[in-house]
Amino acid sequence: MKRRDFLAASASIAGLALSGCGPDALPQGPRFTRGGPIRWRNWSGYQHCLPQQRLAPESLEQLVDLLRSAKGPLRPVGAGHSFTPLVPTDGTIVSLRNFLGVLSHDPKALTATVGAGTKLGLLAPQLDALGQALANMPDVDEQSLGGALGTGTHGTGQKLGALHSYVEALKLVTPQGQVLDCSRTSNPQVFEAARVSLGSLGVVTEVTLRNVPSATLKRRLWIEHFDTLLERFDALAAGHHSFEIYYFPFSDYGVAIAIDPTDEAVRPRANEPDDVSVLDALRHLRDFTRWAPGLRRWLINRLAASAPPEEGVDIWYRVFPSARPVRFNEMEYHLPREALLPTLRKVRETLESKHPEIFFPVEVRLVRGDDAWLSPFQGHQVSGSIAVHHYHLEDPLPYFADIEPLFREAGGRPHWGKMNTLGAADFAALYPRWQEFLDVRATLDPEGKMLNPYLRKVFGL
Amino acid sequence: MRRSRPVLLGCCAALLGAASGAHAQGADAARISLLYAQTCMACHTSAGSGAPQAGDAQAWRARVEQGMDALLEHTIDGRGGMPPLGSCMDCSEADFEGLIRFMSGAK
Repeated sequence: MKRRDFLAASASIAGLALSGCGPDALPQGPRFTRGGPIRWRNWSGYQHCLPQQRLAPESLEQLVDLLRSAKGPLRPVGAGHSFTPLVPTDGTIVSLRNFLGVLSHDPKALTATVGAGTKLGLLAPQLDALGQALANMPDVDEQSLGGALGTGTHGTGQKLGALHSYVEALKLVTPQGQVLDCSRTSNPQVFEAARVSLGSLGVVTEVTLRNVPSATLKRRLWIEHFDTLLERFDALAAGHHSFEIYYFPFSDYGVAIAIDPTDEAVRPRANEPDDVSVLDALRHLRDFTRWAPGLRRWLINRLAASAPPEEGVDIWYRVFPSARPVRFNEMEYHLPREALLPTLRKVRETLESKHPEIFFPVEVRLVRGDDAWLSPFQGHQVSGSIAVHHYHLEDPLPYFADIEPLFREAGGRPHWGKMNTLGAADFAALYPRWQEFLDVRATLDPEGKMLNPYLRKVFGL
Repeated sequence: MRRSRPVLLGCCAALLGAASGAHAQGADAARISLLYAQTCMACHTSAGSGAPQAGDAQAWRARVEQGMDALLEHTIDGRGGMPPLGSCMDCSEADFEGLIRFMSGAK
C-alpha cells in the first residue's frame, strides 16, 4: 500500500464520523474585521497583542533613532513562529524586513554576512548561488534569521549544531542607540550573550555565518516498528548526517527520516501537502474510535505497516525543511543525550495512559552542543530533543502539564520559542552563565525597554 | 571578503507584477513590489510551501471567489501554513489588499 493509499484509506474510514473539533475558548484574540485594528499574533494564534506601533525602519540610522525614541516595551519581531510570548507588547514591534539578503561573502572562508530580517527560505537560494550552504536547517524555513537565532532554533543531527553555533560575528543596536560589532574578539562578552538573547539586548541587524559547501542531499523516510526503531536509534543517529524520528501516538510504529550527502542525480520528493492528510486522518481516526480505543491502534498499525519508504534527492535547502500547513502549539525540551530515550519511553507511557486526545506525532531530534551563554545546548556534547505538539484549536495545557515534569526531571532545558512554565529561578539553575547574561543585559538596557511582561518573568525583574 | 551585489528582489517582483497585471500604480506599485519581495515571495514562489503561487490564476481562483474580506482575514489572522500578517509586520490593510491583488491578479 502506498503512503497516499494509506492516507486515503484512513480518511475514508475516518470520514464516517467527521464530527471535527470546534474551536475551544483558547486565547486566540479577536478575529480581524475589515477596517478594524490589526493585531499581531503568532503562527498558532495562541499569542497575540495590539501594539501601539508596528514599525519597519529602512536604515540603521532609522533603527538607532527608533530604539532611542519609540514607546516600550519594544520587541523585535520575526516571522511569529515562536509559541512563547516573546513578542506581545502594547508598545512597539519592530520588523527587520528592510534588513535583508547576503551583504558580503568570503568564498575561501565560506562565510556570509546576512541581514537579520532575511527569512531562511529566501536566504538559502542566495547562499546556494554563492556555492555555500547552511550547515543545517530547521524543519521549517519561514523564520527570519534574527528570530531563529534569538530563540536557539535548530535542526537535527548529532554532529550538527543549532544555527547560532555557526555565527562568527553580529551587529547589535542597543536600546541606548549604540551600534556594536561583536565577535569572539570584539565585544566578546556581548557576543556570547547576543548569539541567543530572546531579542532582549537590542536588535541584531546583521550576522556573519560560517557555512559549508553547497551540496546535494538524499532524504529517506520510512515507517518502522517503534520498539525496533528505539533499539536501532543510536546506530542510526551515528550513521547518518541528519537523523530524526517521530512516534505515532496510539500505534506501535514510528517514522524515521535520514538525510545524507549524495552524488545521485536530483529527483525531488513529492510535494507534501500529504502532511495535511496524515494529520487530518489521524485526527479523524481519533474521533471515530473514541468508543473503541483498541480499534484506533489496530487501524493505525495496519495502515502504517504497509506504507513503503520514500526517497528524494535534491539541493540541500529543499531537503531539510517541510511545509507545516496544520497549525499546532508545541513544547520542546533539550535533554542530556543519555536521558533522551528513557524520557521518550516515559512520554509515550504518559501520553497513551492519560491523553487519548493526542494525534500529533512526538518528534525526537539531536543537536550538537555549543557554548553560547543562553544556548539550551550549552555544555552538552550532544543534546537530545523531544517535542510534543497539540492541535491549535484544542487546549494544549493539560497535555503539556503532564509531559513537562518528565522533561524537567531529566534535566532538560526548554526551547526558548516553545511553551514552558519555567521562571527566573529555574533558568538560573539550568544555565551556568545566567548571571553573566543578566549583567550584560542590565548594562545594555538599564531601563528595561526591551522587556515585555514575559521577559520580566524570565529574567526575574 | 566580497561585497555582494544587492539582491534584486524587486526585479523579480516587478516582472511578476507585469505578468500578473498588477493594478497598483507608481509609488504604490513600487511599495507593493518591495513588500512582496520582502515578505511574500519566499513562500508564494516555492511550490513545496503549499501556498498558492504568485501569478498562478488557477491556484488563486477559488480563493478570490471567497471575496477580498475573507482573503484579508486569512492574511491578517493567518491560515494553515500562512503566517499571520503574511510576515509583513507593519503592513496596513491597504498594503495587504494590494499584495493579494498583486499575487492573484484579482481585479
